[in-house]
Amino acid sequence: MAVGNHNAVHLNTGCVNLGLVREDSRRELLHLLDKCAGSKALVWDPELTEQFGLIAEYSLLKEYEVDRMFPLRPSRLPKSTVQHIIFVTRPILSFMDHIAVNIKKEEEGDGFGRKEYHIFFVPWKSFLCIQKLEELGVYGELTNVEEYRLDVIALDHDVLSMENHSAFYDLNIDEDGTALHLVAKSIITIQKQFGVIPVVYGKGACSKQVCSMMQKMWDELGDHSEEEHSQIDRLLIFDRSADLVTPLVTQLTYEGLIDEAYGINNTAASFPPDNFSKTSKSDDLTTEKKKVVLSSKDELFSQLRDCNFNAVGPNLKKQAKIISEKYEERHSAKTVGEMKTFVSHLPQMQLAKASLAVQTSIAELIKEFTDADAFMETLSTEQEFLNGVNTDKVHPYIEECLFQKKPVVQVLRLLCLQCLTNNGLKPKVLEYYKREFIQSYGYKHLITFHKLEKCGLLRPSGNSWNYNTIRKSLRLWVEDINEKDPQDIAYVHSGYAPLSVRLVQILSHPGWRSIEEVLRIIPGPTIPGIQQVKPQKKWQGSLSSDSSSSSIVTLVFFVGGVTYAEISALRYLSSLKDGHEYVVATTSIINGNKLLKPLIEAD
Amino acid sequence: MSETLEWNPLGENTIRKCCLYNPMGWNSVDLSKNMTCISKYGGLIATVQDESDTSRSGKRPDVYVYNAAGREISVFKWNSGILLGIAWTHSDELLCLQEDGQVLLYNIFGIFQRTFTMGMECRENKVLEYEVFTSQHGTGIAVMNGLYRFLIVSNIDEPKVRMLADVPGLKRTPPSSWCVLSGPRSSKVLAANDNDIYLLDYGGQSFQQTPAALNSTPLSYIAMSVSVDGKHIVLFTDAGVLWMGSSDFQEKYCEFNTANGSRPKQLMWCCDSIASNSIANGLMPKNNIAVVIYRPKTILVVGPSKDWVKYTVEEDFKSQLGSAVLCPDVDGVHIVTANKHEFLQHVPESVQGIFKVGSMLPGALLNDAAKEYSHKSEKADEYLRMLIEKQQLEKAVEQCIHAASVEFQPRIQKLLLQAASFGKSFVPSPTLTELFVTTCQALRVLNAVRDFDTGVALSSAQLKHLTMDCLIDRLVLRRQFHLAYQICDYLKIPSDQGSSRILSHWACYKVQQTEVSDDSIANAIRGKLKSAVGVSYASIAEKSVECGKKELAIKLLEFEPRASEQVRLLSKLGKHTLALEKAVLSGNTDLTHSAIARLRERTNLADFLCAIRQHPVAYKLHLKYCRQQNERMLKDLHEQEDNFIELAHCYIHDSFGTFRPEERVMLLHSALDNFSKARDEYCTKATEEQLQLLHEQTNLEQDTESSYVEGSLHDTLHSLLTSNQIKKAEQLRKQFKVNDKRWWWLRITALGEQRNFAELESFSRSKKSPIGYIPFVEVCMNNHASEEVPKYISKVTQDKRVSALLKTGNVKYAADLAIQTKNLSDLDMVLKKCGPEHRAIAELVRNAMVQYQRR
Repeated sequence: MAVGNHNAVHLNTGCVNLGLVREDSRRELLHLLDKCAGSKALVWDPELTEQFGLIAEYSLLKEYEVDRMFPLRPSRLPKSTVQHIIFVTRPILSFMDHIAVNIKKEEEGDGFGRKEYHIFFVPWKSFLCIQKLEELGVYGELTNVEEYRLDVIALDHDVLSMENHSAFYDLNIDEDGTALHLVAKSIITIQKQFGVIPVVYGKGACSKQVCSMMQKMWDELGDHSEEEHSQIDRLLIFDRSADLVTPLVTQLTYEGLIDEAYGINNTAASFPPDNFSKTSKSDDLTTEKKKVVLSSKDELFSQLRDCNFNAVGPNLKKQAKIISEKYEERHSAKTVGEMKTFVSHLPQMQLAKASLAVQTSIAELIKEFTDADAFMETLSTEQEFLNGVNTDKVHPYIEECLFQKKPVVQVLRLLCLQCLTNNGLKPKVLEYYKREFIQSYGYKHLITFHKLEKCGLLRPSGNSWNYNTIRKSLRLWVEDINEKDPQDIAYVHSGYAPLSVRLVQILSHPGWRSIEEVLRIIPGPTIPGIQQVKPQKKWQGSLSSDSSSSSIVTLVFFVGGVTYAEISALRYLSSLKDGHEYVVATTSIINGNKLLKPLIEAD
Repeated sequence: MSETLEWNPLGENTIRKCCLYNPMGWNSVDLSKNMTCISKYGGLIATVQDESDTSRSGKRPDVYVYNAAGREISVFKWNSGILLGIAWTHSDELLCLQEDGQVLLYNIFGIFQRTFTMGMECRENKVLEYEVFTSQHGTGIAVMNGLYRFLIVSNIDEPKVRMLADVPGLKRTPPSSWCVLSGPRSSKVLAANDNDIYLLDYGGQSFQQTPAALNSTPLSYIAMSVSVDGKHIVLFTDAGVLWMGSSDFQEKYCEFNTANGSRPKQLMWCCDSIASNSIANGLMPKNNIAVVIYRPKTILVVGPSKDWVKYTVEEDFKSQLGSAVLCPDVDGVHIVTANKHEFLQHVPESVQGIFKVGSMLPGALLNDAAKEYSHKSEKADEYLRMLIEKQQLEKAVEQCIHAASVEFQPRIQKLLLQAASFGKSFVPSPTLTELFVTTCQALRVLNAVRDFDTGVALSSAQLKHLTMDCLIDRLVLRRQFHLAYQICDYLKIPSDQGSSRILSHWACYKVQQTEVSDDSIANAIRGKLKSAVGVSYASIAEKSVECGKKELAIKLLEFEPRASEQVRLLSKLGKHTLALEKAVLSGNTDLTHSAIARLRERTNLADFLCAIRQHPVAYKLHLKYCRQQNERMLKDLHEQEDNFIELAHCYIHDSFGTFRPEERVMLLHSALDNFSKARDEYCTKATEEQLQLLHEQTNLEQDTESSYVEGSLHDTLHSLLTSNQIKKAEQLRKQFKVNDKRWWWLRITALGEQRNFAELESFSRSKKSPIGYIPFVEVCMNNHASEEVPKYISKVTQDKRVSALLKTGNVKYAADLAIQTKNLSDLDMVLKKCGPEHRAIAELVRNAMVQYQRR
C-alpha cells in the first residue's frame, strides 16, 4: 500500500520508525473517507484541522473527493453541492449541539439536493455524544457514525503525542480517567506496531492504573504472536503529577523558549511578521502572522532546537559561515565539472540559506523576549527557589508582581514553584498570598486556588514530599553549567535538571534500586519493572545482524504532558551513545502556561 | 490373502464390501418394520417404527438415533402428526416428514430445531411419496401429494416451496415412478407416466425424455434412480430390464435384463462422485460406477458393461422381509443389517494395484519387498533393486501411502505404511515425507472417529472432501468434545479455531445441564477454560441466559475479559449495579457512562444516587457530566454528599453568570452559607469581603457612569484613583485594609498614567516609600517621561541603582557606577545590556570584571 509519502520522511529516521504510526493513521483515515463515495465537505472541530495536517495533506484529501472544508460553528453551513457532509470532531458534548444545528439548517433545504451526513469521532466514539445526538433528534439523520482512532500522532522522529490537551485537568481536577484509558489504548496501538514491550516501569498515581488497563486490554485482544520481538525494550509511564516542578520552570532551550514565548502547536508556531519581511521575497503587506513549521525536517532547526539558547547565537554564526564558504567555492571552481557540482548543490544551499534566515529572525525575537527585565527577574527568582533559597517567606518579587497586577499565569507559576520547592507554604504565607491575589485579580480566583490545591500545585506545608532532599540526592541543581557544550541534562534550564528526566537517566544507569528512598517521597506509587513477556532475542546478542539498533530503547510516556526542555534533555541522553535511546510519548506537549491556564478561573 | 477376501471382479474393475462394524452396538432392531435412514459422511442411523404398519394402534413410535456402529445416541417419542419418512440432512439434522406436509427438524439428540410446511395443498391432500436430496444449495426435499403434484424445496434452510409442472397425460393413477434430478442451478423431478418420462421444472414446463438406443419396449418404468452426483440415471422397467445411461438420456451405457419384473425394494447407484467431480465434466471412465438393486435377501450389483455380482444378505431371524437398509454415500453405499454395517465401494486403484494377485505395479513390488524384509529374506533387496532401477520407488511409496489412507482396517493400514516407510528410506524426498506424515495424521484421526464409541463411518476420501474443520464441527455437534479437543491438540490447530472454540462449545453445552448446581457448573467451566486463550465467556453466558439460567450467566460473566461484553450482557440481564461495577473496573470511562445512563433509566433517583455513590469513579464522571449538562442535578449531588465547598463554588459560578446585582448578592450569600457550613474560615471571610466590595461597587456605579462590578478591589481602586476620587479610594483602602505597598504601587501607577508628575514627586516625598524608588523610575519610563527620572535615581538604594539606571537605558552611567562600586553581579548585568553600539563600554566593563574576579 503506497500511502506513505515523502512529506514525512523525517519521521522515519529515529531508532524506531514512527513514520509507520503515521502511515497507519493515514490508511485508516482514507479507509473511512472511502465509506462515503462521492463529493464531500469536511466540517472540522477547529482543534483537529492542524492535527490532521500532520496525517494527510489537503491534496490527498482532494484525491478522495473532499471538495470543501468548513470549521464547525453553531450556524448554517456555507452552501455547497457536495453529496456528503462529514463532521470530524472530538467527542465534546457542546459540539453535538453545533452539529445538530448544522444538520437541521441544512435539511431546511437549499435546493442542492439531498445530502448524507456522517460523523467521525476522534479518537473515540462516545456514548454520551451519541446519546446527546439522539436527544437532539439528529442521530437518525446520520448515515455513518465512525470512530477514527487517532490514538497517537508522530510529531517528530522521536515524539508521539495524543494531542489531548485536557488530560492533566481531566485527571486531576475532574478525576475523569478517560485520558488514562486512551493512554492505555495508545500503548496498545504502539505495541501492535512495534511489538510487546518486554518491561514496564512507572512512577506516579496514574502509572499503575495505565499499566493494569493496558495489560487487561492486551488480554482482551486474545491470541497474539509472542515470537515477534519488540523494537522497544522498555516502557516508562510517568505521571506528570509526580514532577510538577519541571513544567513550572522556564525552559531555556531554543525550542522551549519558542514555546514559552509564542507557543508551538502541532509542530508550528506563529510569529509577528515584521522580523521576517526582509527575508521573504514577497513584499505583500499582510499583517498576518508568519507561521513556521518547526520539526527535524528542517536540518538547521533540528541542530538548534535542543541547544540552550545561549548556544544558539554562536551556532547560527557558524552556520552562516559554512554557507558563505560554500558560496565562495564558486570562485575556486575552475573546471566545468567542478562548476557543475557547485551548481548541483545550489538548490540545497539556497534552502539552507532560507532556513538560516528564518531561524535567525526567530532567534532575534527570542532574544528580545529573554532580554526583558521581567524575564530576567522571573528567571533569577526561579533559580533562587530551585536552589532552596528564600522559599519560606513571602517573596518580594512575587509580591511586586501581585501589586503591579502582572499576568496571572506568570505570578502563579512562581507562586506554585515556591510552594513546591518549600514543600508547601506556611499557612500564614499562603493566606497572605491568596488574599493579595484575590485583591488584585478578583474573588473568582477562590476557585482557582481550590483547583491548584486539588492537583497539588499549591498547598500548606506538611507532606512527605521534600524538594531539598530530592534536589540533593538526585543532583537536581548543577553548578557551572556549560551551556555550549553540555555535560548534564541540567543545561536545558541552565542549572536545574528536570526531575522527570533525571529519573529516566537513573533508571538506565544504575537503576531505580539505588534510589528507592527518594522514589518513596516522590508522589505516587512506583512500578519497579513488570515483565510483560520473556526477555528478547535482541538482548541475547543478535549483535551480528543489526548492531546499529543494539542499544536499549526506552519509551517514556508522560501522562499529563511533557515540556520541550524535557524532550531535549532526553535527546541529550540519547546522544550520549551509552547504550540507551529514548522515544517520547505524551498526552500533549505543555509548558507552565499551558499547564496552569485551564486551572485559572476565566473572566 | 485376507486383503482381497471381500473383493469381487466387476468387469475391468473390482468391487468390495468392507465390513465397518460387526456386530452392531444395538441389542435388537427389526429393520424390516422400520423406516430407517443413514447419513452421508459419517453413517448416522435413524430408525423409527413405520406407523402405517402398526395399524395405528394409538401407541406412538420412538425415534432411535444410532451412530454408525449401532450405539444409541438418543431416542425420543414421536408425538406429532403421522410420520411419513425420515432422512438426514447435509448438516446431520434429522428431517421428519409428516403426512400433512409438515417438515420437522431435530438434532441428533432428538431436540427439536425448527419446522416448515410443504404448503396447503399437501395438508389437504396428504403427501404420498417424498425424496430428500442433496444439491449445491444444501439439502432439499421433493414430495408428491395426493393430487400427484410435485412440490420441491431446494434448500431446507430457506424453505421456499415451489410447485412443479404437472405430469402430462396423467389419469387417475400415480406416476409409475419418479426421482429428483438435482442440477447446479435448480432441481427438477423426473417422473414416468407408464412408459413416458418427463422432466418437470418449476417454470411450469415439462419435457419429455427418451432414453437413447432403447432396445426393449417397456409398458412402464417402475423405478428409477439418479446417482449422487446427478450424472447418471438408471430406469427399471416392468419387464425387469435396466437401462443405464447419462442423466440427460443422451448416452446409453447398457441395458441389462435382471429377469425379475417386480419393483425392487431399493434402487441406487454406487459410484465415486468425489473423484468424478474432481475430473471435469463427464469424461470419467465409466468403470467406477455400478447400479445396486436391493430385494429382500439379495443385493445385485450391475456394472455398465453388464457385469454383475450378487450378494446374499444374511437375513436375520423370523422375518422374511428384507431387513437390510441401503443408502448411497458419495463414494459408495452403506449397507446396514441387524448385525453389520458394511460399505460397498469400488476398490480404489492404488489398493487394487498392490493387492491384485500377480500385480507387478511399483506399489505391489514395494509391499512385497517390505514383507520379505520383515521375513529377513534377501528377496527384499531384489525387489527393491528392481524398483530403483526402473526409478519407480517414489511412485511405489506414493501408492503404498495412498492405499493405506483408503483402507478401513488398521492392520492393513499399518502394513502398507510400513512398506511405504521402508521404501521411503531409500528416496529422500521432502514431499513424500510430508505426504507420509499428513496421511498418518489423517489415519490416526479417522481411526479414532471410526471407533465403536464414536462411530463416525467416514472414508478417507470423504474426510478430504468434508475437511478436517468440518469433521471437528461434527464431533462438537455430537458432543464428542474430548475427542475433538484431542484432535485439535494433535493436529496443532491454532487455539482460536481449535481447542478454545471446542471448549467454548463444551461450555455452552455444559450450561444446559439442569441437574448440576450453578456453582459447580461455573467452576467446572472456569477450571477447563482457564488456560484457554480467546474464549468468549459472554457467549457462554448468553447461552446460559437462553436456558433460563441468569444466575449462572452472571457467575460466568465474572470471567469474561472483555469488559464491554460483560457490561452489555449484565445490563441486558438487568444487573445494572453490577454492570456499573464492572464498567468502573475496566477503566473504560465511556463504558462507565453508558452503564450510568442505563442505571439512571431503570432505577428511581434515590436508588440511583445510592448506587452511584458507592463507585467514586462513576460518581466523579457523573459529576462532570452534570457540570456540563445538568446543573440542578449537580447541586443535588453535592447537597446529598454535604459537599459544601463544591456547592459554594457552584453558587460562585452562578453569581458570575448573572448581571442582576440583587441576584448576585443572593447567590454569594448562598456561597457564604456553604463556606461557613464547611467551616472554611478563609473562604468565609473572603466571601464576606466580596459581598462588601460588591456593595461598594454597586453604590459607585449608581453614583458614576463607569462600571465597577466586574473588577477586583485592585481594579476598583485603580479606576477611582485615575478618576481622581482619591477620598473614596482612601476609604476603601481602610475598609479593606489594603497593603501599604499595594497602595503605593496603585498611587504612583495612576499618577504616572495621568502624567501628573508633579503630584508623583510630591507623593514620593510624602513618606518613605515602602516599595523603594525604582518603581518611580519605572513609572516615568513607562509613561515616556525620562526627564523625570533623575529626581528619583538618587533615592534608589545603592545596590539597586545600577539596575535602575539600566532601566532608563543609561548604559554609560550604569557602567560607571558598577565599575565604581566594584559589584560583580551589577557589572554582569550591565554587560548583558550592552548592545553593538556599546562596544567601548562593554570593553571597559569586561576589563573591570577580569580585574575584580582576580582579587
